[in-house]
Amino acid sequence: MKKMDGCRLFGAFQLLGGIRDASVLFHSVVGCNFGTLSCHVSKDQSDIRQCSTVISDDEVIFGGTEALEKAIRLLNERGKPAAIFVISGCVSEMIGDDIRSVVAKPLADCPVLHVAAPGFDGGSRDGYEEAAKSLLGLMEEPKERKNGRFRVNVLGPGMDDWQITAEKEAFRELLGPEVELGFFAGECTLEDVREAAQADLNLVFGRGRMLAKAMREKWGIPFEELDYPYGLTGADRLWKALERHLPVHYEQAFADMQRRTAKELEKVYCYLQAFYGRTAAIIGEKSRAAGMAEFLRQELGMEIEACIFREKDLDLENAFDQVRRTEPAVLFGSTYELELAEELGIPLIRFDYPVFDAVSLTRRPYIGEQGVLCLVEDLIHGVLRARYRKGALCQ
Amino acid sequence: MSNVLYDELAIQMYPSGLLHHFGVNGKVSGSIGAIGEMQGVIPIIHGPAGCAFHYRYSARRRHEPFYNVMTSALEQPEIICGGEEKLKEEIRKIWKRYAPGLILIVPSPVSDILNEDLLEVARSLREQEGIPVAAVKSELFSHRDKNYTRNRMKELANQKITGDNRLSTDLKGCGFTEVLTALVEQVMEPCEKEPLSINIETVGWGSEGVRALPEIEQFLNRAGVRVNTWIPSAPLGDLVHAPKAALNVAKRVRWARKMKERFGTDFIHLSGARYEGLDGICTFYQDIGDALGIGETMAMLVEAEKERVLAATASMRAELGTYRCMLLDRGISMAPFHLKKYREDYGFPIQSICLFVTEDARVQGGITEELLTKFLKRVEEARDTWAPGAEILLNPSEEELAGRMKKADLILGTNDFRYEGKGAPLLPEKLELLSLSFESYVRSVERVARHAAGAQEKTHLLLNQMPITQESFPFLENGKNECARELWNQMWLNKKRDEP
Repeated sequence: MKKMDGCRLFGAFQLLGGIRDASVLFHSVVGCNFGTLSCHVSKDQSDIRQCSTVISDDEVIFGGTEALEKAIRLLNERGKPAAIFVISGCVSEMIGDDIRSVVAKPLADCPVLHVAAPGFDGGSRDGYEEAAKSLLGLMEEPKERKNGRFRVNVLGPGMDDWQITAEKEAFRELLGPEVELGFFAGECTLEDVREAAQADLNLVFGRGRMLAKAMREKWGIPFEELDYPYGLTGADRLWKALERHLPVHYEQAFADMQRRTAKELEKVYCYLQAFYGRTAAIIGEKSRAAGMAEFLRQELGMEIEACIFREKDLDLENAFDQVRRTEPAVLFGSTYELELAEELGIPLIRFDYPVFDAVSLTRRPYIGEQGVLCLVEDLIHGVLRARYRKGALCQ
Repeated sequence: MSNVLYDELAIQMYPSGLLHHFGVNGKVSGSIGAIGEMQGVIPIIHGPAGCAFHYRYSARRRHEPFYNVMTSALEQPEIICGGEEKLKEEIRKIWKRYAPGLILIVPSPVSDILNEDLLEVARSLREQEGIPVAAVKSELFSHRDKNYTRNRMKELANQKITGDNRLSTDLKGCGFTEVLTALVEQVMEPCEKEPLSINIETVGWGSEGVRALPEIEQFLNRAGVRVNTWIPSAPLGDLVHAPKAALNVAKRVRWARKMKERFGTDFIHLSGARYEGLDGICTFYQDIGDALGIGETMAMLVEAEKERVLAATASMRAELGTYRCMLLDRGISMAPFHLKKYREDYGFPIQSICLFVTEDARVQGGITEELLTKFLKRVEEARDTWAPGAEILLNPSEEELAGRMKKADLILGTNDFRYEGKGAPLLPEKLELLSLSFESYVRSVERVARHAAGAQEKTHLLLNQMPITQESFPFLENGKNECARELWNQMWLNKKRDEP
């Protein structure tokens, strides 16, 4: 009836739309282009590099390859992109356009890749995985690096994440001086993709496993699948993963982060006491939801009443029912979960796709040292700015 | 009481214009938007699950999602064998869980290609299982008629500004209208007509409509006219009995035509310049009165009300008449009526008229040299009537513009902030907010007078530090977005030709 996960085509776009010198061409109907355009609303309205072949009645009857050829040529001439990613939707797949033959033609001065993403063949996670796998062909053989630093790639984030720029920086800070950040999915350049095979380790946060596996098979690059690194516990998981694969040590970094974070949070310690023992429910993509649950439980001492993963292919109403059967004081989810938060009369903390009613201009991540403070700050604001309970009955 | 100016702000916070600069939405969006207005109706999109997930947001409802959008979640097996059975199954589940007044099946491009018989699915569930279901029928595949804007421009260019200014162009393949048509064909029931009752379509009234529509209703009540149903913003039961009305006031005409065919309900079409300004308000009520056979009664009421609001605004209009004004207009097709509005409705004397017709606007509107000449002639006629002696400049240079601005006290007719700080204060057009009630007119004059009195040049706008040009306004020209726009124009308008 009501699904919890998005379209396969959106998943592909979340990854490929984040390669900031490339362009995305939807070989699909206008609605797919318009819907994905909304990903820019909270992320970056000044950087739109996408278009549609506008599949219409004519293409349904006569085929859409001519329109696709024309669009690729035009995009190449006018946009001079570093790469063109053709994402095909339901209709072009149903009418049987030979897209592979078109993208194989010498139509552009840049690589042209095709990712099939019909919505009837999987959800957003599948689209992301398929798109990630397509990048393998663009990666160059590893070369010797001269700066003496280790390098890791991050897979899983998407371009529509309104905090992605801040989170990328937070990842960089978490890695510390000995490890550099390589390809960061959702916010990168084609050059980053090309050099991705130079990494010593792939970190997979929820999505990108197929690419990581392929890179391990092809170049022996190991990968680790982790929950999103919210809080100190998240940072600790990340650091331990790095220590397992690289000769680096983060014990001191962890101790410092713990000390500094606690010091900062002393300013709101009464609020933290209020959170302790209180209940929360979480709905989100598995990696993010599990990471958030760990942070709330381990660091704020909250009780997690329900933690629901989008990947479970649950009907949304059934997922809501699971939450309704509990008594959460705060709900963590996407903008769509505002419906449930309003019904329950509790604050919603937005942390999972899709978020379209927030922007991030001040680089406020939810991960890393700064991220802990931002998250706690938003949690406090969420509670304080929600409805007030006054009067004797509630004293 | 709704705070209309907050509503306007909240609406603009959703950058619909930005998104429409690079694409148009699929017609599912309009369909979901229409159903979201109704009370007691649940839509099910017959397509892959992702469509329903994403259309909850992108449904012409700005930032407010329509949460209850269901899906038949078509997958590979249905693509091969057809999805009608799965659709029925999902509808049964929805009925069991929510028991809504109506379940409305919305087709997707996928179900259109599968050629699914949605009307038959709805009929069989209705008749055999007693589930209230109707189905929206696709007039066109995927999206609305792309020639609409160009056809509208052609019709406008050929109208005399002193004529009746009715527009007959209608929008085929609009998802919003397709839903209303489904209501007319499958949900509405024949009723005995109430001679003095009307239905009013609620789409496209703007934020001011929230205040104006009840005022319109009150005024109509004084003439003995009752509003039967707000279409589609009404409980399902009211929509079912919409045919009680003797007249439809329609914004989008296709459903109203269908209602005339099926129930004999006459309609007036709120389109074009006929209903612009204070004269437009009077014409609006008079058209309703004439259509209902109470033209004389209505004429007396309208005349009295017009006199009242003119008296109430007389001193403000007299004050506004002391400004020397420049009209900056980026919409040449409606510029004559803007001239009329500023002069007649607000009292502003216009000294110069600067018209901007960008290359992009010409491409979008299909404005050929011939059409441009016709439009200019209309502006000249309007100038002779409402701003005699005013100079008309088409796409003036910065220098030409600066010269005229120095002689003006106020710039009108635009929200183009690029002209802030260039010699005269700009009164943003967005402050006018004029709808079809007499009270709305008074509020508009009051607001304009208040802001004109306090108008100041804004010389340090952050927006003016950004690369927004005459051609690109209101969008950035930053070397990144232009290609997406150009490609969109090519694929949307000129796919079959090699050059724009």
